[in-house]
Amino acid sequence: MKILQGYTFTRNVEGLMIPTNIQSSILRNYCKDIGAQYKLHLDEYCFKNCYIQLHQIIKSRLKLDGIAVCSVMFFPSEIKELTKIFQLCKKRKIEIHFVFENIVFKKQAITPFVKYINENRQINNIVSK
Amino acid sequence: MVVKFKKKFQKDFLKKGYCILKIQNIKSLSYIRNKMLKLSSCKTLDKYHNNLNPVNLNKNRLNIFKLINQDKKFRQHYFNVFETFLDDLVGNEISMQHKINLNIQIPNDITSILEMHADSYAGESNYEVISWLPLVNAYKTKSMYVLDIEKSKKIEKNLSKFNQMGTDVIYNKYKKYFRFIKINYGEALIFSSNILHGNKENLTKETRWSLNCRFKGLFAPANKNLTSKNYSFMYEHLKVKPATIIGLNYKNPIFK
Repeated sequence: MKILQGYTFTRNVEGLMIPTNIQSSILRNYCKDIGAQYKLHLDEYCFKNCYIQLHQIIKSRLKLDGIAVCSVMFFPSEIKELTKIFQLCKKRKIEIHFVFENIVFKKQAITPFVKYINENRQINNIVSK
Repeated sequence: MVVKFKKKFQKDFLKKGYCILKIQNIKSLSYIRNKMLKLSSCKTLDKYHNNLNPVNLNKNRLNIFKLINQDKKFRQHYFNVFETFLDDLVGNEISMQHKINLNIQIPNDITSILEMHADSYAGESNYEVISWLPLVNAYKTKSMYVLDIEKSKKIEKNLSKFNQMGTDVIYNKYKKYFRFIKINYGEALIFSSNILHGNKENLTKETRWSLNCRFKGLFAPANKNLTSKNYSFMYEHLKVKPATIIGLNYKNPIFK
């Protein structure tokens, strides 16, 4: 059974702000639906531009198959940083499951994937205004 | 402002950001422990892992979590255990977190690890305290670790340097300052939301059972950052005094 670590976000990202317990419940149900084991979520620190817990999960020595997160919006928006994160995940064979967008990062080529994610985010911002 | 505190636990809390308390309300503590024994279907909570398939751990934990939070007496008894201490540390108009959380940390389980954090870093009020009630004796990795307030502040100053490294790097760098709390059943811990803490893989041969719940002064401000941890999402007001009720109901006269 795959183990997915929950990653939750408390900051307001362009209007998106979901209580942590609701995020956790969504992620737990998602794991149940795909037959994965849910590992207790880690809340990202609430300081601007801080992704320390995300890096902690990726670099952790514990055996994890992936990360479950509600939205792409909870990942860094800066392309260079995003690319670095996906490179690291690919190297460590960590999947990333974006539940709301129904996107799973596994072994895809990173550059087009980051481009797609970024476009998705940009369109979302324009449409929401 | 010079404020002098008389009680040892007040002094400890102010100095270290946490304090260990000897529980006075044995009746409420017994209610809590007996309920947990009943719900766990085991005679000794420490040995819970012996007849457990680890895959079922979280499912069982959530089931017990649901049941204890449905029991209004349980919530009242939990508050009773901490009431006098909260009065001296936080205030007598109190808000209590909606749910009482349950941790069951079986030996060698990696799914229940909570990496180093401070609750205020996750968006909770800087004025909040966390109550932590062990239902078994806790020591070494069966327990949780804390860092006192001064050391927490020291790390906080350099936190941004570790942004792309993760919290393990911080933990390892400052390992000597982190202290696994030795605490027995019959005692409790209260700590500030601003101190760093967490747990590691339980390398002992016993299971840890503990409960935790957050409290804050009724009108204490929320976190300085805009986060999803709204007052009403997090807390219910538990103790409100008459002057506050009058104040809340006051409306300015309207001049047309």
